[in-house]
Amino acid sequence: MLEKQRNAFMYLPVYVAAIAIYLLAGILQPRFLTWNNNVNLFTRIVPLLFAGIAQTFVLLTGGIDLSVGSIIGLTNVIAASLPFPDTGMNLLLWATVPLLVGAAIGLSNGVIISRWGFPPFIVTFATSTIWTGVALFIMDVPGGEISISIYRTITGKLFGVIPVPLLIIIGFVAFAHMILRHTVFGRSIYAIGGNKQVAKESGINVSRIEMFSYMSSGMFAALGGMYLSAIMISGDPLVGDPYVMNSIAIAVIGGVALIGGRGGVQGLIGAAYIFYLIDNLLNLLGVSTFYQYVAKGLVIILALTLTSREQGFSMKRGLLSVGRKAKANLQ
Amino acid sequence: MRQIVKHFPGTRAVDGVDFNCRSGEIHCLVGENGAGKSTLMKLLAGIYQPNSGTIELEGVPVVLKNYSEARKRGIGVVYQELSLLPECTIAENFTMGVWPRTKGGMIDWMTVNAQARKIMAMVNLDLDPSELIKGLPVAVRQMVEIGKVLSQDPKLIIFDEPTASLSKDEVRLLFGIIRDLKARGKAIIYISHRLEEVFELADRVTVMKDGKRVATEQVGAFTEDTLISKMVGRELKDIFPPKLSKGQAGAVKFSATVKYDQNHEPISFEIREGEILGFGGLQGQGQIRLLESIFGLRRVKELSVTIDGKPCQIRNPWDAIRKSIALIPENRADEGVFLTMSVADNLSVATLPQRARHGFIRKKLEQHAVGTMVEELSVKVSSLYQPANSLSGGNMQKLVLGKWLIANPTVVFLLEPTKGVDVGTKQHIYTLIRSLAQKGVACLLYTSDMLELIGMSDRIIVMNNHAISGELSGSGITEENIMRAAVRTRMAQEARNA
Amino acid sequence: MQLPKPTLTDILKQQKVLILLFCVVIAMLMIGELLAPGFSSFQHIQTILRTASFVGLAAIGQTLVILTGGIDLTIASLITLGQIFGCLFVNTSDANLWWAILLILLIGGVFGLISGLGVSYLKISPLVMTLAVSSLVNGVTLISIEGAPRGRASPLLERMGAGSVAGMPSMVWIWLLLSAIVILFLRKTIVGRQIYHIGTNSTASRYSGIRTAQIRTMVYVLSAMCSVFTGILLAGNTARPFLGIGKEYTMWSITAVVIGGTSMAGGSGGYLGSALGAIIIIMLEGLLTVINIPEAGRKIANGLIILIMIMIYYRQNRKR
Repeated sequence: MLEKQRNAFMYLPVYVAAIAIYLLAGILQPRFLTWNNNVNLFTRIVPLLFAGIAQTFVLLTGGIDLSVGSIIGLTNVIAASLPFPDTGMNLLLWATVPLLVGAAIGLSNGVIISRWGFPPFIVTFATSTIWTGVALFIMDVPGGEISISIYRTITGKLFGVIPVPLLIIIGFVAFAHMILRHTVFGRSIYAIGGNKQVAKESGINVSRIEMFSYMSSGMFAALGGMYLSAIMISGDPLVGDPYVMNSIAIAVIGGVALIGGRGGVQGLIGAAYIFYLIDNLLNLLGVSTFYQYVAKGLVIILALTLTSREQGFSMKRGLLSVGRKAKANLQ
Repeated sequence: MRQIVKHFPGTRAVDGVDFNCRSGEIHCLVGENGAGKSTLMKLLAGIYQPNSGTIELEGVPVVLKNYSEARKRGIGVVYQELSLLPECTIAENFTMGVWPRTKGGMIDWMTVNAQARKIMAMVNLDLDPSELIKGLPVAVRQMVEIGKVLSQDPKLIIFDEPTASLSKDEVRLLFGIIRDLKARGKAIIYISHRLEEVFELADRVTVMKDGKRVATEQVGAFTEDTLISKMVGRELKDIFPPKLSKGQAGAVKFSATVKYDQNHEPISFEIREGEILGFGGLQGQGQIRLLESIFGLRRVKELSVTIDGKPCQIRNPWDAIRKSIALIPENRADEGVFLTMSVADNLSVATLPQRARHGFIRKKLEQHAVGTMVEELSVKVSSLYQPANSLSGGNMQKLVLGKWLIANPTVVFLLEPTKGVDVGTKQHIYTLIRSLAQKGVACLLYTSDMLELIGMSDRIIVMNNHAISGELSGSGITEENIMRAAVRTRMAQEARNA
Repeated sequence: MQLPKPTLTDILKQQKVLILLFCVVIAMLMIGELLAPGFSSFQHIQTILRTASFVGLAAIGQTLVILTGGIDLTIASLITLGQIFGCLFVNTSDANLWWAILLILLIGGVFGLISGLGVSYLKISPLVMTLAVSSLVNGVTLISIEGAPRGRASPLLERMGAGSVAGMPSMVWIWLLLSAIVILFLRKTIVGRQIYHIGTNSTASRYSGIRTAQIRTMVYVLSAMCSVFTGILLAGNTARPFLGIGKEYTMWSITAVVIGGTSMAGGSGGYLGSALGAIIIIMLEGLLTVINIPEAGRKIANGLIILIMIMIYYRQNRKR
């Protein structure tokens, strides 16, 4: 099958589902379709998307990053603690320091995991606690201050029409996609996730690319933290907590394979929408919003069942778990 | 012009071999399973390093630390195990590691695709470069693999059994490509079991046996018969226990019929009490699949099994074990041994209920059973509780055997029972198998070691392409006959089809 | 064949991890006593053990699951469910307690079954499967009580969760009992041994006739049932229901298992280590509180400890 076809298979369902839910919500409550509400949605989706992009970079290499949430929290707090960004210099600080911190943390994860060879799950599990602790150290209760002007810019509209959050969404997803699709770094990530041995034999420096994938994750998480600081006009050390598991969830729903080598950021927007729309829709249906948890759980299971089947999991000779397609190809 | 000269005295797999290949020559390498052909080529490709001896390229001695280095020096290998990434496109697989870039630092897809088309043209493939590997049939993947190797413009190309999954037309295409490469001055080494291919392609042929080079001649100096006899002829060493004499076998002990799917012709066979039934033929012709399917490890369309005349239903290994069937797997590291667990645990695992009451394992019973088995098999351990990975290969294999012997099975499938095992232990295992057969256990043996197959089996079923292609017994069991059944059947079939 | 009996030094060498953990516990008691006299008093140890018992119970399920090479993220949500439903069903009446326990165990079991089936038969990664089920559990919990936790534990339950028997907290007795059962199960029973085989090499397990899918599923069911049971006992401890009470327990249970030396890849380790790990975690919390380190420092310390333990335990694996 052509790459285009495979991509369509992988990403269309997510968007079809997202659009379906969206329209359903719109039918039930016309107010839902108003421009204002949409802008609202854009604004709320951004951090989850950043977290999803971060996670995707790492998942594609076959790893996992449980420290995404804590990096968001830490960079959020740092951003809110920097000198009040009303001068150009301070603005520059706000824009760069959290990013560098995210990169540094990500890189440290990468070194421990890739250079030193420890399992990603526990390492990022451990470091997430550490960095949350540091965040709490800097700011034990929500506080800090961001200038109103940043808030206004981030939530404002370009040329008075296009909402900035929408630009952020499209811009950064496109940026991430470009890296993954059109740079050597990105393609190396897929190679490593596909088959580390083959990648190594092709001359790819596996440990370096893996380290950079964790660094990228840290940076995108930092972007999420910065964004949140602007939106909330303050910092909260624990703000990142819900994003860890959600980032994995939307990555998986969006087509990224947990074992690596397959997927991309194309499905993230749709998946994030599905997540946010679920409670919106339930609300409009007059159903208790508690059903959102049930719905989200079912959505994840559904998405996994579909992707697991297609992948034809075990590649070992004919063991009962091999999907039919893969079996035919092997024999 | 000489491309390579190499000899490695003293390595078991490759024993003092001199080999060379000239540019513009197709040099075929033949030999039985385990003769050392693949190992020799892996040495050349930098995947293994020789214990001693030298490799020279164009007269210059080289040291190849890994495959990347070999590639840089112009050596390319087309494997049986494909080195393609299924989730990436054809173009990407070609370009892996050497992406052409635009001025902006991004990947230059136009160049990538153009290059991909050029490479595909070399192997006569007309596909969209953005086709994913995973959607391609195996034969096409093989062609892509070949293209990938060719794209690095190697001076020496090694083909290791490339036609295993190709159709007649595709083979013809491949040969055209190979001849073209020869005309362009490449040195080509071609490993194959299929003698008709050898005769069609080769300029020179080298025969290897038991790690040694037996003969190197122009292809015209051989006939099929002389070639086969050079491949097999050797003295049978006296390490096998005596076989059954004619008519000594008892009643039918075990029989099975397997049908894999709709289009598959069912395979049936039976085995009598006291006899050892060997499964022969070239590697990968379905022998393992057959035996594993009967054991319940693989799903098949139809399976009927009778033991002592009584039909049995087998849907999974649990059923098989309950019917007293045992399977000693081919890859003990992946399928047979629990490396980090103790010797005792390993021996005990398949028969835990035997030594338990109400679900609780009785340590004393276990120690006794395990200790007895360790003694019976002469497994060298200092403690029953040391981890399995501290044992030698031979002793580990004994663990796998012991695990099943404790179960007192009625039927035993032995897949490569002496793989990676030293000679002394081999002998021990042979004696063991024969005594099992004498006790009435139905022994089915698959081994790629011809010597072992002939030495142990009272009867041999030869398989080719997932079907039975021959049956030999008594004095008919010779290496030539086995090879003939394994190799010539294809030609005979084609002759019949033509 | 008379093989030499294992000597004391052999046993000690095998149990390196447990000895290390014991030493850590003792060391912490001593440091604690130095920094805050009374830390290692019988009374304080009782308090520590009581708190640790809840983490320890949560770690039972996690240990079993991790031994098979998986992970269970539903523990937190199931503990919350157990606590909330506990209060709800019991509603101050001892008579209700027994059928409440049975019913809640059943409910937990169903969720565990879902997780197990997804992992064993649909081949879904345990990480995401239990993540999804955890969301389901939260939803079901919230829907059932319409967001408003009600009810209260009964006197008997409170005695179990917060009271003492014969000088020790009842929770400690319960923990002891369950620990003994789990350790016995893992070391002495067929299924327990098979769990280790599955975690070590699931392919070889299949080839050796072990029913890997069934056992894996069962393990998730057991873990779920342990978790809800812990929740019920927690209800006894807090008397009133609280949403989100279970929140930290997933993290704590994983930490306890990791510190306890059970490998995340499965196949090696055991419950005794996890139990000691639970004690160490709670003792660490206690120590840090006593020297007045704020939450931030505690979190950092927790994370560093796990990191250090990982580096110690996985050092051997890397050398291959």
